[in-house]
Amino acid sequence: MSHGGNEHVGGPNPLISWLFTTNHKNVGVLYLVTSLYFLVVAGVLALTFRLQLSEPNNVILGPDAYNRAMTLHGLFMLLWVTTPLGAALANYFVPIQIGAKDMAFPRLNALSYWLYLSSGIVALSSFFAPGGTADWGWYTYQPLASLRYSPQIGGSMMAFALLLLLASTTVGTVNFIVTIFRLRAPGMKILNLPLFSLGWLATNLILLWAFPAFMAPLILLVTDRLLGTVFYTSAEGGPLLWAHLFWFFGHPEVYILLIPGLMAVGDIIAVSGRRAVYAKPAVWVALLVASFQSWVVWAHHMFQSGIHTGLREAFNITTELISIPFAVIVIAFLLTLVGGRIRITTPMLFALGSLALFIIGGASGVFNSSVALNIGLHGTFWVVGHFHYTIVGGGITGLVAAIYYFWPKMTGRLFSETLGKIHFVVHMVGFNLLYFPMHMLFDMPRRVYTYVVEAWGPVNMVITIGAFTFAAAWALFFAILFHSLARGSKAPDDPWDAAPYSLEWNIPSPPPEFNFPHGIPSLSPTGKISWITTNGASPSEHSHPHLSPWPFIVSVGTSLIGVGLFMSPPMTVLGLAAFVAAIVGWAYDDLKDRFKVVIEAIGEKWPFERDNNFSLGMWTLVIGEVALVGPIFSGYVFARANSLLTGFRWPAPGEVHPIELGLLNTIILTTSGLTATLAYLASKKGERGRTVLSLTATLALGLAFLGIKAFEWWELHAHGITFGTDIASSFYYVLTGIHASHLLAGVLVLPYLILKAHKGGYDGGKAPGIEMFAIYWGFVDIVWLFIFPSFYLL
Amino acid sequence: MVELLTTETIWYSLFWFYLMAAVTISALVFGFMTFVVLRYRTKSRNPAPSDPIDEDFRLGVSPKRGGVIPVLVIVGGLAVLFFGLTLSTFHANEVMEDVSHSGDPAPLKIRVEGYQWGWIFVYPNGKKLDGELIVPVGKAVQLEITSRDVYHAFKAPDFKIMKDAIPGRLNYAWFRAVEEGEYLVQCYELCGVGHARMIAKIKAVDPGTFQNWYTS
Repeated sequence: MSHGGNEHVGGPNPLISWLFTTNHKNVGVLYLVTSLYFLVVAGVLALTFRLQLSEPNNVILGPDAYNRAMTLHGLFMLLWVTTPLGAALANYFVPIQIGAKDMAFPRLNALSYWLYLSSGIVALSSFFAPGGTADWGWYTYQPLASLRYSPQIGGSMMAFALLLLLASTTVGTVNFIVTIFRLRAPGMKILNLPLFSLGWLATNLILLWAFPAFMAPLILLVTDRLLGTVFYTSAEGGPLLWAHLFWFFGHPEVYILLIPGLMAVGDIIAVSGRRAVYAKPAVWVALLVASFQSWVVWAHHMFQSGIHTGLREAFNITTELISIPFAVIVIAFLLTLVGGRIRITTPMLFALGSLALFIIGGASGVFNSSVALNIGLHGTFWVVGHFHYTIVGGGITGLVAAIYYFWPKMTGRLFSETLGKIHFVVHMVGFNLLYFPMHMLFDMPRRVYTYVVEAWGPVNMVITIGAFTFAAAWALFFAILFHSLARGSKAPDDPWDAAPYSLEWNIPSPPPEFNFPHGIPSLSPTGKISWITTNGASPSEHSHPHLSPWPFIVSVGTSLIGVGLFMSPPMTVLGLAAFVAAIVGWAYDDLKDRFKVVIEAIGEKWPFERDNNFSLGMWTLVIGEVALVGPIFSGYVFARANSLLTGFRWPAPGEVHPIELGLLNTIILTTSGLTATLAYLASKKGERGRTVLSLTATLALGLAFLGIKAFEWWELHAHGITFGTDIASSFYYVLTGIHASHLLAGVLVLPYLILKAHKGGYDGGKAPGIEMFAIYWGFVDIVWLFIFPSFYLL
Repeated sequence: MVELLTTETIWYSLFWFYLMAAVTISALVFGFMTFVVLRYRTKSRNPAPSDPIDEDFRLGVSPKRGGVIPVLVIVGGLAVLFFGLTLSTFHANEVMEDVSHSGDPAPLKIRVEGYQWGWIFVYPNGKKLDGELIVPVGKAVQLEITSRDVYHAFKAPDFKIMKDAIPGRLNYAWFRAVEEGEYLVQCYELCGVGHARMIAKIKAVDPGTFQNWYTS
């Protein structure tokens, strides 16, 4: 692929430069290619089961194969395709649109991608594990997904792959939030951002909560499957514990999938109509309101589970209300066009098409929100039709529009408008033939590999024909893109006449490595773009300090650990070695200050002018951590409340866990919080000796805590209290285990900080590393202050 | 004779109400969309630089574009619509939820147990049927639904009743068959390889036949 960044990445070997790249545009291209590959995989799986369902009592796929194909299709399309496809374009264009030369943390950006790829590889290899992969449907209901009913190794691999993916996304989220808040060009206020970047910010604000919140139930699932805890098999936890925690993530996820495409559509509409976005502040407020609302609608997925009527009615109302901000957005987009001069291009056709499909999906969603109608619609093909209209119609079709829109900028090539328009027609015909008839099957259960009711046959046949037509549209899409790469005429810098609207159309196609050859972009209060020329703020394009092998090697290590854990122990050892080597290498690069991040000194940083990128990054990560630990604590409360109903006797204070030891550890940990703070204060004053001393004290206290914790675990084991003894011991082990592993991570970083401080690395009074550590350590302390009373005192 | 209340008639009348609202609103939005695109469409590729439209077209927020009034109209309009929809939903839900609204003072109480992969129906006198539920026409039937193993979902689509069958929990639903015949019961929550075949039937027979069978 001819690509801008590529030419400048340098290095003797183009393969190495792709593997070790940290440039946001290259990472974007990697994301794009990978997510489209996964889209093809998951799409082909869908074709196999559409073939199976085309007639009643068909025998192309058996129930085993069907369940696996359907599960993988769902998981991949949602988590490995749609979100990363948005991330691909965001990686490429958000830094450009905000006026930055790269992301705030380029190496972490590369790490996000490589972890994403690793997770995909682990997930796909689970397909070939003995006994097959996960076959319980993407929402993994319990206890079907427990070891008892689904013992296959592939299922555990899938859970592990999901954890990896969530880690990858969380790293990316922190990076984007810091980048968008702190790296904007001078004059670029948040509201000045094009809708795509604005939407990506909103998406990341949801991601920051939602993905760690999904980690919580997954960790409990993995410990259930690997260590024998009883979260989902005991009466106190059980199926509803999973359902609540899962949907708490699951519904916000829908907006994560939708917003990037929808907001790209807004930009394309504005550009094609040559009009400013109508009521842009209202669009932004609507996005934020919807983000918050997305946290209080989850139980509408559980209307039939027997939760209290009043609660269901409340969720009915919140669910209806969330359609209001999206109605505001849709109408604002249509009003944008009023009085405009609309040019119908391929991206514009897809944009309008996407909006139309999303309106239908939104309308059918109102039906589902009704507690009464839901009785008839829940678990049927109506629902399948509904969510494909929103996610494939609103989300993916919008992203197709965005790929067409951004394509000339990314590749420097134009595509055939005629073919693009033919593609649009095939896409829309295939889509509607595929998903619209599903609404007529509102009595047919979803996720069945076959059906006996003859009357459902003809409609299913139409759906299958639609599926193949839709698949043909995708084949055509890829052909058009390849044709453009091979034969496309050279794209001008501004093929859509969009230069006044967004920065990317003011730079060459494809953009040079650091994006802005004319200087630093800046924005006047009236929205005029100008260029500040300074004396070479960017490093020479021939040196390449921006290559780093470590993100790639970390991820190779992680995948080996992942696959090896389930298939071959030596592989795990090898992976662990690679992982440790990469982390040490990464730290060594930092110690020697070898990797340069390209960041302009001036810019718009509201509302985080007083922070630095590192502290803001750590604060953001801590919010994500809260979203991880919080749901586990909610699970604890849920199980304790349930134990009153089931008659399970929760151990009395002091009965199992000695209060004295807990108290001792509390004192040790709070003291270490104090020493960590002292280290931070000393480092700010540049006092080397006191910094080293305080850090060393923190290390000693951290080790003491871990020692006592290990002793407590040992004692419990000696008394026969294990992971799976009961729900109380499960929660104790997992919560203290998560806490201790966080503490251990901090303890492992400390020697590095001590070494760097000792060598005078923080003498200048700037010690972002220590500041980050102090924030992190404080968070870990606070978590303990919740754990201590929960298990020792109550 | 007064027509007996059934869950499916309540459901369908609510469904048509929602459908009417959805079609009307979608038609309005699609009409507006089509109008705007056709009305403001152009083929000229080179806009005049002095065109007043272009002043507005730039990075950032345009002070000229966008009033509060349309936003308030959308929010207010939808709020009113949803208020109407929600009230009728809650009313329908109350009736569909609670067997006391069936008008039958002594409904037939059946325990439903889902298992991998089938349905067992237990009658008050201890009679037990696997894969078939026999009920008398006209009588309200209350179901107490649970599961013996994994998460299932009980649904009889003809009666528009559904409840998840969850191990360790009891969920309730009621229905009434007004015509003799056989009706489909199926599991609507993925429960393993036998999910698609987790089918049973409800057989509605005349009350006399039922009584003979039940007391035999």
